[in-house]
Amino acid sequence: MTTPLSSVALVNVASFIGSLGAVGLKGGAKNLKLTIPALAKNWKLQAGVAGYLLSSVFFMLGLKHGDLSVLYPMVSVGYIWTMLWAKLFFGEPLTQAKCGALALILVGVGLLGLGNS
Amino acid sequence: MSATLDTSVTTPVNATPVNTATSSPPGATVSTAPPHTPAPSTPEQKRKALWMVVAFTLMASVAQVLYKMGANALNKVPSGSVVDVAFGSLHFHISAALVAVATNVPMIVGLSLYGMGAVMMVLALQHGELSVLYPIISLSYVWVAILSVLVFHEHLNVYRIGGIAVIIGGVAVLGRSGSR
Repeated sequence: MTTPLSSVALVNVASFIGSLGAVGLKGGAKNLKLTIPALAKNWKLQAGVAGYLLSSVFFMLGLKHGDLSVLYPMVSVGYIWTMLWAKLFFGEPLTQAKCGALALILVGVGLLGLGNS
Repeated sequence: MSATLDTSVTTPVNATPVNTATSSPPGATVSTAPPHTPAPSTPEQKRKALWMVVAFTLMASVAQVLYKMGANALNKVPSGSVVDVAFGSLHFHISAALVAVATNVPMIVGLSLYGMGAVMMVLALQHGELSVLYPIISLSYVWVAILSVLVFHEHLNVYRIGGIAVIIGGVAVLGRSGSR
C-alpha cells in the first residue's frame, strides 16, 4: 500500500496538535480539583482535551488512506515537540538522560517502521 | 488511584521527593497546605504516575487498531447516500455516513478508550513531569508490535526485535529519571 503525502501531512499536524494538547493537560492537571465547578473553570484542561480531540480527528483523517506501519511511527515526532514545550512552559530540565532516552525511543520507532515495511 | 486524587493542590514541576515522614496523611493535605504552596509529589506518587502512563499505552494501542478498523469501514459508505429510519409512524431520512459513524462499534469503542486514556494521562500528569511521561507513550508501539505477532501471527524480524528492545531501553531510562 502506498502512503499519500496528504496522509503524512495530516498525521504530522495531528502529532503537533497532540503535543500542544499535552501542554494543556499538564497545565490543567497541576491545579486539578475533581468538582464540576472547578473543572468548568479549568480552561487549560479544557484546551488540552480540545487539542487532544482535534489531533484525533486529524489522525483519523490521515489514517483513512495509507499504511499504518508508515504513518504510526510519525507520531513519535510529537515527543520532540512535547519535550520542547515542557522546557518552555513548565521549566522542566532537559537532562542528558531524558534526551538520550528520547533518542533511543526515536531510533526504536524507526527500527519498528523498517521491520513493518 | 485514591492517593492521587487526595492531593488536589497543585504539583510543582520540579518537585523534589519528600521524606515520607513529612508527608501528610490522605485528606489532610488540602487543609494544611496554603492554596499556593503545592505539596511536592512523593516518589510513590511519581511511580504511580509512570505506571498509569504504561496502562494508558496499552489502552491506546488497542484503540489504535479499532480506530483503523472503524475508518476502513467508513470508507465503504457511498457518499451522499441516505437511509430510511422508522420509529413507529415516524420516518426519517438520515445521511448514511452519519448512521455509519453512530453504529461503528470499533470506532466508538476506540474513541471511548482514547477518552479514558486521556483521563488517565491527566491523573498521571498531576505527579510527573511532562517531559518524562509523554515519551513513555512510545510503549504503545511495543504493544502493537507484540499484538501483531500474537494476534495476527506476523513475522518477528530482527528490526522489530531491535526496535522493541531499544524503545523499552529508552522508556526504562525515562522511568529512572521520573521516579526520583
